[in-house]
Amino acid sequence: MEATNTQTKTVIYDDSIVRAFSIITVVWGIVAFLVGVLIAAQLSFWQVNMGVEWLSFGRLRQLHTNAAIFAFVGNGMFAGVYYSTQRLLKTRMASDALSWANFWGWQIIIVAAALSYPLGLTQGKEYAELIWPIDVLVVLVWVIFGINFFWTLAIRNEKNLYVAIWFYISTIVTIAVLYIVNNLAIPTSLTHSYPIFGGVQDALVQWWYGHNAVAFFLTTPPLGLMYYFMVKAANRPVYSYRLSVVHFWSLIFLYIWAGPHHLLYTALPDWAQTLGMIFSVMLWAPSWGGMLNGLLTLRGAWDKLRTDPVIKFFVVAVTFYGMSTFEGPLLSIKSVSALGHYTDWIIGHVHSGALGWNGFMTFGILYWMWPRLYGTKLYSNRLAEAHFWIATIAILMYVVSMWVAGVSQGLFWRALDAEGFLKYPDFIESLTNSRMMYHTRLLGGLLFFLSSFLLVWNLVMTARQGKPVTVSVQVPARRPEGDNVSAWGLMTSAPMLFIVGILVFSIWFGLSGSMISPIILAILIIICIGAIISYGLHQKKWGHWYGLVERHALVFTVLALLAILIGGAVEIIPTVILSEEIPLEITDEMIAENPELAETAKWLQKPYSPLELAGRDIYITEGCYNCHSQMIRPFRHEVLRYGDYSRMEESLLDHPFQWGSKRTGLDLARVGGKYDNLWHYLHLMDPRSTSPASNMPGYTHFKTKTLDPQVYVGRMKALGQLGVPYSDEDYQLAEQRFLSQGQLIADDLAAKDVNIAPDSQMAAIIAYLQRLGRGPQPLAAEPVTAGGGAAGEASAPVVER
Amino acid sequence: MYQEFYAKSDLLIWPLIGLLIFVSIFTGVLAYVFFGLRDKGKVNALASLPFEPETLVPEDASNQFDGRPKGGPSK
Repeated sequence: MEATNTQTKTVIYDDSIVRAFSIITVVWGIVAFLVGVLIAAQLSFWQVNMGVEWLSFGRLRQLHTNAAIFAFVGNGMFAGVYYSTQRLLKTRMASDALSWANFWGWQIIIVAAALSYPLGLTQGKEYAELIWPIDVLVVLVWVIFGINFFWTLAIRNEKNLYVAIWFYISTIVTIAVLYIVNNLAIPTSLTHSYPIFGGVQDALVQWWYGHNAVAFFLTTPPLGLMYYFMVKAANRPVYSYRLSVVHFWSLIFLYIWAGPHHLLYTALPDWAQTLGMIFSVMLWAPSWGGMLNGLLTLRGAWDKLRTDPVIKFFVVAVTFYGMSTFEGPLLSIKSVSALGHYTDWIIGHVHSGALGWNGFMTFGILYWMWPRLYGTKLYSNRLAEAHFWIATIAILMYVVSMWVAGVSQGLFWRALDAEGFLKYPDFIESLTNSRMMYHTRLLGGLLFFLSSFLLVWNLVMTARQGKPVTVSVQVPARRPEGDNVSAWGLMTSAPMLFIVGILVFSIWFGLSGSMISPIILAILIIICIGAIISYGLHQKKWGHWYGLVERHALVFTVLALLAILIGGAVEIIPTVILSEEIPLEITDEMIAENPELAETAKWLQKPYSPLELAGRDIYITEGCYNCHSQMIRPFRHEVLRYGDYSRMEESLLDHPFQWGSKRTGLDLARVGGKYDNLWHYLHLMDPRSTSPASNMPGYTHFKTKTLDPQVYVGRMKALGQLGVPYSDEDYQLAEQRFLSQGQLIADDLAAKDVNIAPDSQMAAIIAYLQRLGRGPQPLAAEPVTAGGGAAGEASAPVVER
Repeated sequence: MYQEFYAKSDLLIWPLIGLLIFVSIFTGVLAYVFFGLRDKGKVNALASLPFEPETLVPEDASNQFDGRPKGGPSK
């Protein structure tokens, strides 16, 4: 909104959108914390699952994580970005309509997520569980946000882009790339789809996304906000603007490579694991650079820490950022990951970042921004102080209890006796020993949740004592002159050409053989020397270059995009190539031609039968991966406990992969055949009947709910399109095989006085669990074939490994 | 040892390329920061961008200005 006279014009910012995002941040924050408390209570007391399928831990956990990330932090991010962007660019957002489309679109997504997760509608990929129609909406809303943001950049009244804006730009472009790539899927219905990636590819793409969702949704936006709001709260410029330049580029370049640290010691190729580990450790430096830049901004203003609760929140938030970015690289070291992975240590780490860094940054921003949005002072500093101290103690209770539980679990699982066998062979013992820590976590979570009502009370009273206001600034009537340099001119300038030259020859050097590599290296050195000479000759021009880039939003965005694409491409493309090289079907003739394929064939996964596929979909629906992994690491203690370690070939056909990231329960990669059908039935109906100390919810609805076999014919065909080697006969006989395999399980249980329907969810999930770690299982008492003749592959005899 | 290590897989070269690219770019950024951003006045001006003077306007008064598209229930 602008009013113009001859010399200057008045720009009035749109703060109504900021108020709306701020209010909804608090609302969703309370929902996220409440669901967090509920699922923490479920882990402490299984009875809190209440026997209701919609409220079971596996379904609610994703509601909690998504509410915390996308609803609480996401809306807080939008509030902060809309507030600071307008002020840093000295212009109102380009379109009020797009701002509100962003707001309402985002809330519709959150409501859709809140409804779909309890209903069991999920893609089965952590932090990317939303079903495909909601994914489409997410992309649409994100594009709306992006258009509005970049349009605002285009009409700005400030020539220079402040560092906070750089972080917002990197967030917008990177999240778009990550979200679209990780959610590429083939829909089978309005509520179900299979990701196009499978097995190891899916694992890598998922954690490339998962880790960088942390990086570019939970880190770069709050860092941008830190560079604006902390500076404003301290009323002094950032400690070192030059450090912020290094911080930004090194952070966005390094973060994107770190995803594989979530897959250390899995079946991911070792080179990718090492790459993830090295870049994660390197991340330490820029993260701490940013943290120190934030903290040192308070130089000379530390006295405010005593009196200003906003500064308190910011300082502790940045300190938690430092702690979690120390802990993250530490956990990425392979030997540390060997101990910490799958344990509650990771849960503690995540929450120190989510509650401490993201939560406190959001609270600090709200406390600082809210009174300004209502033209008044904060209603009560004492209430804010109380909120700060209670929440800080709550986070410490949460994090410390999870550290203790996690390290204990890691040590417990790996403990061997003097003969080299498991000292604690019963997994449930580690759960029993963690129980007190789970209770402490619950108490910490509850305190954090309750303390947020102090925030609500304070904000409501602040709003009541003020009136909605906004801000106007005087800016020159004419927009600032451009630099008379086109995007193309900048992209083809000497510094840029040197950068491209170094990149191209670096890659060429890496790929070249021993004969040509010295020549490439020599060229690389010549380019570097050339760059130094060019700089010496045109110092002013070179010094001016980055200033031009930083003012040219398009070029800046392209460079940021390139920085993140390099890491993603280097990781994902070789893994895709590697997986493509493994044939999904290996015949005897192929082995005769290439004997090396014999080892691959031994482990190569065979397609699931229709009933097993249905069971797998139920496994995903119930979120079993939230507590059970399917990835045995190559450690003696894991092999002793679970069986032979997992190979890449064993899950190539899994869309999505189900390796998991947490073991509240056992690994299930080779659970097939370990127990009989009755054990599984009893365990699923009431886990305490077979494992007395278990905290797993019962799944009594498996017995009563039936499935439509026809649905799975369509799903098999979708998987067939993705390369799963189903034959036409498999499609034709799918319904028949579905029912006959179910009948086998039903008959087996009936012999032990348990009656289930052959098309029940119970039959399907048992079929799936009995298949894990084994080859195809019998599909019928008599082989089922199209012509009534010999059995096909799917009805081959039981294969044990 | 180096050759033995890399002989096991063609793909092991990728981490090396990654490191090389990163070191090149990081060196470039550092060089720019140390040599290109020497002008203290310019740096201070950039760092002071969040501190531009502002005037508070009641939300009702902000309706008086026209000339920009409005949308949604902002008023």
